[in-house]
Amino acid sequence: MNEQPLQQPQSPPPNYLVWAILTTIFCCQITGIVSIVYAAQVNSKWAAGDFNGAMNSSKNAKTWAWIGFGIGLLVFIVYAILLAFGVMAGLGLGFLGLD
Amino acid sequence: MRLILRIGLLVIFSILAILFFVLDPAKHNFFPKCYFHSFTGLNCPGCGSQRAIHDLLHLNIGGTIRNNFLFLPAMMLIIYHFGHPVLNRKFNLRLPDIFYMKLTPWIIFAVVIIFWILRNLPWYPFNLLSPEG
Repeated sequence: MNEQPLQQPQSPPPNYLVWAILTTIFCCQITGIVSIVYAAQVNSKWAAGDFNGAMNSSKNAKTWAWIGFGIGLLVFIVYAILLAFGVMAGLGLGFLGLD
Repeated sequence: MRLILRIGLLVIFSILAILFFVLDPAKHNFFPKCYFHSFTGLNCPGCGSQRAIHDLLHLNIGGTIRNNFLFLPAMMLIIYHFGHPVLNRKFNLRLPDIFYMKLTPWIIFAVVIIFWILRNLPWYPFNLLSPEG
């Protein structure tokens, strides 16, 4: 048991709270909220001395930050494509005098 | 590689900033809509943040707050998170990283959920929290 303190990392694992906040504000409330909860778990478990638990929550927080980012990017790309086609279709109709 | 990534991000953010400065998301309908709002007609905690960016870039603080009450505090938190090590080094301070305090994420969680509920209530003064209100 005396060896435990020597193995403790010095600083807490990343909680990705910045990403959690950004995804909550800019795209994906649901994944953002999940990320916030995992960030909270990282801090709580770290404070309680549960280092493995904190590492685990950190991994989950990272995963959910990426899911949020991925969904945001996907929505953005799909939207950009639709927009491009819409503009093209609009131009086409305009040229044909059907607008 | 890191440098290219940083320059790339800087270019993207600059283009977005110019876009959000020149065009008003409230007047042009090609800005992406919030899908939560599109499906439910309700406001999410992030609704209004594109209009808030536009207002903030025009230094219209009142408009920023009206469109999304949490936008400014969220930005200030993030700026503090990245800025406090610089301040600590420069002025020999010991400012803590609030993002790693035990209660911070729980407080943010509670604030976001409460904000989500309140900004959908149709009565005064809660209707002021809605971007349209």
